[in-house]
Amino acid sequence: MNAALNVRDYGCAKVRRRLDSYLAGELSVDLSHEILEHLDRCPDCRKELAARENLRGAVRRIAAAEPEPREGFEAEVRARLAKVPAPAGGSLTTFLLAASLVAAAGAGTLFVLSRVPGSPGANLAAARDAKAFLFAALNHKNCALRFDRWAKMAAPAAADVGADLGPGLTAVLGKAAGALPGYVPVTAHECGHAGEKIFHIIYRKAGSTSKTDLVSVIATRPGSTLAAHVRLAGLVSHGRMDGLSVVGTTADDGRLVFLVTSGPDDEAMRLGEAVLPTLAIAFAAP
Amino acid sequence: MSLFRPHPAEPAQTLRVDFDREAWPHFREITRAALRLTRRPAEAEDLASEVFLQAWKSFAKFERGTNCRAWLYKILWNVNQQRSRKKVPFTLGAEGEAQLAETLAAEEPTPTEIRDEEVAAALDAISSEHKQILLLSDVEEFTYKEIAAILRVPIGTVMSRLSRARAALREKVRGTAAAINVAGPAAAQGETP
Repeated sequence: MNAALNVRDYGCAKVRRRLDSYLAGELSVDLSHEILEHLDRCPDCRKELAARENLRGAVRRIAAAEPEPREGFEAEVRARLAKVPAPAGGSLTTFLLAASLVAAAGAGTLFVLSRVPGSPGANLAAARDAKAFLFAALNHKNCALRFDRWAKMAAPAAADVGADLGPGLTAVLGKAAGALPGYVPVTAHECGHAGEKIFHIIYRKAGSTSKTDLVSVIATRPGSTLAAHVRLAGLVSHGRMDGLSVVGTTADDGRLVFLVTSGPDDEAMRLGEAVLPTLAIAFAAP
Repeated sequence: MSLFRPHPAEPAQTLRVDFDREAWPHFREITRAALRLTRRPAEAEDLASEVFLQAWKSFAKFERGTNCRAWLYKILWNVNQQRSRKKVPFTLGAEGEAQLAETLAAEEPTPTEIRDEEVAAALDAISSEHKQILLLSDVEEFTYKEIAAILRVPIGTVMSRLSRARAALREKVRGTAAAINVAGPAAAQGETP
């Protein structure tokens, strides 16, 4: 139990029962963070997590190594189906916009989409976009807003922010640190939920100790499940969600980068314009 | 409230176009998934053909804008199940369930040093039911909810079945790793002593 953080501790046995669901991205955000907090303190469970990730990776590699379908096989099946008459009866067609979008966004949440779906494929893309924006908002809520320390702590020295990051992320942080006028970074770390690891910078408005003045910049890994399915052209706003405004973009290396604030949409867009293009390029820089 | 409404007179050509756009992009993936299920190329081709034939025949019922990939997997699963029933039905049985429950309760750490060949052997050694659900989750990356729809079982069943499947795989991997430790790395690599 970490008294300083006042978080509920999960025993190793409980954590291990949930590790696979955590890796599959099936746990609630709260539970994921509790597991992450336990992992921060428990080297044995970190080792077990790494071993299970390794095992899943091996299963994926084995599946990926399966041979491709025989050349010409698809053409054969297409030719066979071409001879089968079209199915009788009325077809079903989309009447309203993506039901899946609403489902992905969660109850009571309505997104303002930057791209209005006009086809089934677009509906699916919109649902995936919404899921990614929701992911960013929940991270802000469960990390930046959850703990008092980010708003209350004395502003750390720049050298202390992200001290345990590797050289690549430290270089990115260097470019992002001064990109948000009137804000100072108070932490940069790796956290995440739903099996997605993220690079998380929390900025605080200079001179403020209010949580509502915290701003998160959240970047997925380029090969993450979310980034693999979502591509945001330019800076995209998804409007308000649970009192938070979220804007995002796809970085040059394919990862998703979001900015989350408690402020209004136009402020989110203004802050996003200030920092996200810089980061979008910085991630791809050597 | 349904978000979809019947469209009474859609031309056959439109159906073809929609099928081209929605279903065909998944053909290679479905064929490869069929191969993972059957392990035999000829049988996999037969299975994939049947899946696409059934998909085309019932495409009028497919709700456009929903997840066509998951819909095709559902058909794949159904066709494969029907065929499998003609062979040997899979039953774990009360004894097997009890053994796995014990395994889950007293589980040891997952080995950190494992090779893909060992995992492949372990995958082949677990039951087909466990293997299939593991592939749906870890390889095809379906959510628990989607897997429940594909398998037509409650989401709780998906969770418990996946949990048992993962425990079984880890147990097999541990067994393989232990065997390698006993036999030595040279034997594990198939080298002549």
